[in-house]
Amino acid sequence: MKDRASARFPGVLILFTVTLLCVTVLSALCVATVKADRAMTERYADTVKEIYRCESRGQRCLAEADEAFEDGAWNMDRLPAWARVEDGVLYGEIEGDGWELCMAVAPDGEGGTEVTQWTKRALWEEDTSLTLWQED
Amino acid sequence: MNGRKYASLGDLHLPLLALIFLLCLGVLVPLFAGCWRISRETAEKNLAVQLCRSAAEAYAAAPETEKVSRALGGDGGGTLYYDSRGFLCPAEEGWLRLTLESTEESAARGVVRTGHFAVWRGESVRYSLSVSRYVPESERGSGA
Repeated sequence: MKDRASARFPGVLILFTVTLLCVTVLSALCVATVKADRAMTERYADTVKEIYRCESRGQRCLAEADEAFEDGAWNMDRLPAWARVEDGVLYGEIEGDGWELCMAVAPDGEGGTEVTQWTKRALWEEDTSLTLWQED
Repeated sequence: MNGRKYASLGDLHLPLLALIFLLCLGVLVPLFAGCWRISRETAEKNLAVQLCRSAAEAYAAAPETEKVSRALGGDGGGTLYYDSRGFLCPAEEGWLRLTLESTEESAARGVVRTGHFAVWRGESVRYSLSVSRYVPESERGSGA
């Protein structure tokens, strides 16, 4: 009886080892998946922060642009360093960390300004261009 | 000879397998516990980012914390509480806490309002986001 049980031992050991290997592989997969998910979430969180940093920068630029707008025209002396004026429209391209902000501000004809174009681009990866949003 | 060898191993195999099993358990239990913790933290961060984004979008539309709070379903206060599924809940059942703050800087023709949003779990910040909005003088009266 004992001998028969003993003779089965290598088989049991092999089965046990194979099961163990399977569990190890599945565990490794589980760990890899969870870590990849975390890395992706971190990247997403950083990207969102950068998007709003870009937007906030744009809003400050608008405030600066508005400051240079006097009596329905651009005051060249007060023009922000990042801006240029062509045909009465103020253009600006501001580069940030992984993004570029382009804006065009034109007089609205009623003494105020109007953001006629507001484009943001961000390059998060070398080969992937992600357009955050575009308003024309 | 072989029979003898198997016989001696046979005597040992149950305790040996039990030992290996316990060793594996000792490795795998902390491993899975770690995975569960990471997974939970990730879900929490995802939710925190979503909450901050919602607040930031609401702030971009109406740069006042009271309006943001109401837009998110709150009572206009600066703190909102969420359960683990991201639904608004009473303070005592809150799993995450979203705080809304706003600062204002004057510009030549208006103000730049900046909303600061942070999601807290207990006393630690899980995620925070700031967004600025330029409010020209002409729009200030309309409460934009």
